Amino acid sequence: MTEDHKIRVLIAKVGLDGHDVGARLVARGLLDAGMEVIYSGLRRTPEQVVRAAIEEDVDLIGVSILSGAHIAHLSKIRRLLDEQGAGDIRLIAGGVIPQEDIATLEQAGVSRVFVSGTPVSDIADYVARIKACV
Amino acid sequence: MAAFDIRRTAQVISAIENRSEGADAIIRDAYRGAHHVPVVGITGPPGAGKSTLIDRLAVHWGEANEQVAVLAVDPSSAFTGGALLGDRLRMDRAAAHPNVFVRSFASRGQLGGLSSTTIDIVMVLGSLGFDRVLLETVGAGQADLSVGMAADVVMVMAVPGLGDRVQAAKAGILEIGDLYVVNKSDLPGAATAAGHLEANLDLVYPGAAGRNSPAAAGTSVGGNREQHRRHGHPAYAPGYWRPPVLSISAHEGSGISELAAAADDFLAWSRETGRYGDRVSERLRAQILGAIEGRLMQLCLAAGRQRDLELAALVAEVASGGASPDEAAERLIEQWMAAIRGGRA
Repeated sequence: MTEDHKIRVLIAKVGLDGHDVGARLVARGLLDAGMEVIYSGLRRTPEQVVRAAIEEDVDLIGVSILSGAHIAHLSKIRRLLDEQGAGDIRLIAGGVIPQEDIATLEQAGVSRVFVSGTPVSDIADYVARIKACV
Repeated sequence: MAAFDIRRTAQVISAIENRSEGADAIIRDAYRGAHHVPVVGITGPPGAGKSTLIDRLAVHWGEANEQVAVLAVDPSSAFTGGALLGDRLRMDRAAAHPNVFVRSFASRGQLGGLSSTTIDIVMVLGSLGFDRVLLETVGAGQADLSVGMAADVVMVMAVPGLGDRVQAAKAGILEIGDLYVVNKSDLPGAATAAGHLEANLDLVYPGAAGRNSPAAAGTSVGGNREQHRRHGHPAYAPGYWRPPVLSISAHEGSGISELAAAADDFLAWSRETGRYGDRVSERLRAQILGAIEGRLMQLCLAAGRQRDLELAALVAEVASGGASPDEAAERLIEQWMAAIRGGRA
């Protein structure tokens, strides 16, 4: 007898910025959509994020970066995940990310970038659908 | 270098939590291995500092080369089923320590957050080589009676200023602790909070904190059967345990080694006196009863469409005043038993 599989998400704040209102808004939206959301707290390193994601066996990591270091941090997170056998954990990002960097990020293994201002429900819908088409 | 594999441990825990393919076999093997890893339960009101304390304790035991698993439970929403698991972010040091594994759980509808699944997970962690489990519960106060069942040593946390002597005396809090911890000992009122706890413990336990020989004949002894089972009856050999009250500051890291030593002393005492074994038996008995209950329900209702229709008919009957829920249950069980006898179940 199998229980309903709850979607588990890690919302992570990476980099040195201390603004987490957006991250917490998204966390709230995902909670309201019935998901189990682990919030990382501020100023996490890529190593800390990857370790947490693996220990918590999340389906997806949502990284919020407002500091401008998104390409470096996100590619590192993707690389560490792949190296540690967690290639199946998806990575999405949001925050202050310029349009022109999105292609680079997607090449580096970020599945989706949600620019500032995206309705939380769009993000919740995206995350809800990942189990369906894995 | 940790003895456990992080990814494998995490995936095994998920499999058990979700009861997915292969989980039953893993659980069965774990119980057969009978490796009972000691569980330290930490409970107390929200804001008492449970996560901060667990962070300190996990590192303390991790530094002593123990493989430590931290299980932190937060409430699920009754409306959406979702949860915000925010304990781990207060456990930076533990989360970074190579000998410590940190996992967050949503209560998934269980009052207090603990269930038979928690106990299954603990058994499996034992079989994976962990030496100790730290269990943090939802912290709803009286609802945490279940932590006494899941844990081998229970630390009840208090903070200064949250209530008076009567508050400290309420049923539930005083009945489940093996140790009492006053956190934020740097704040005014900490000594008072500790004093209230001691005063209330005086009503139940004679003697000094920790290990005691049997009390002299004629000593007034309080407490109930449950407390006597866990801590020994003060009048009888081989003696009893009076829960100590320790003051610490988890934030500053003071008092942590003393607390860890007191917890280990309790574990040693309870092993020496056989109380530990009794506690394990009690827990396993509850697991078996819970499994029987679940299985019976499953078998009774598993006959598919037929039973659904019977149940729906009974619901309608009770709603219109034709029967009580008890009578309806009796009837359904009779129908199920008849089906078994007739080879139709």
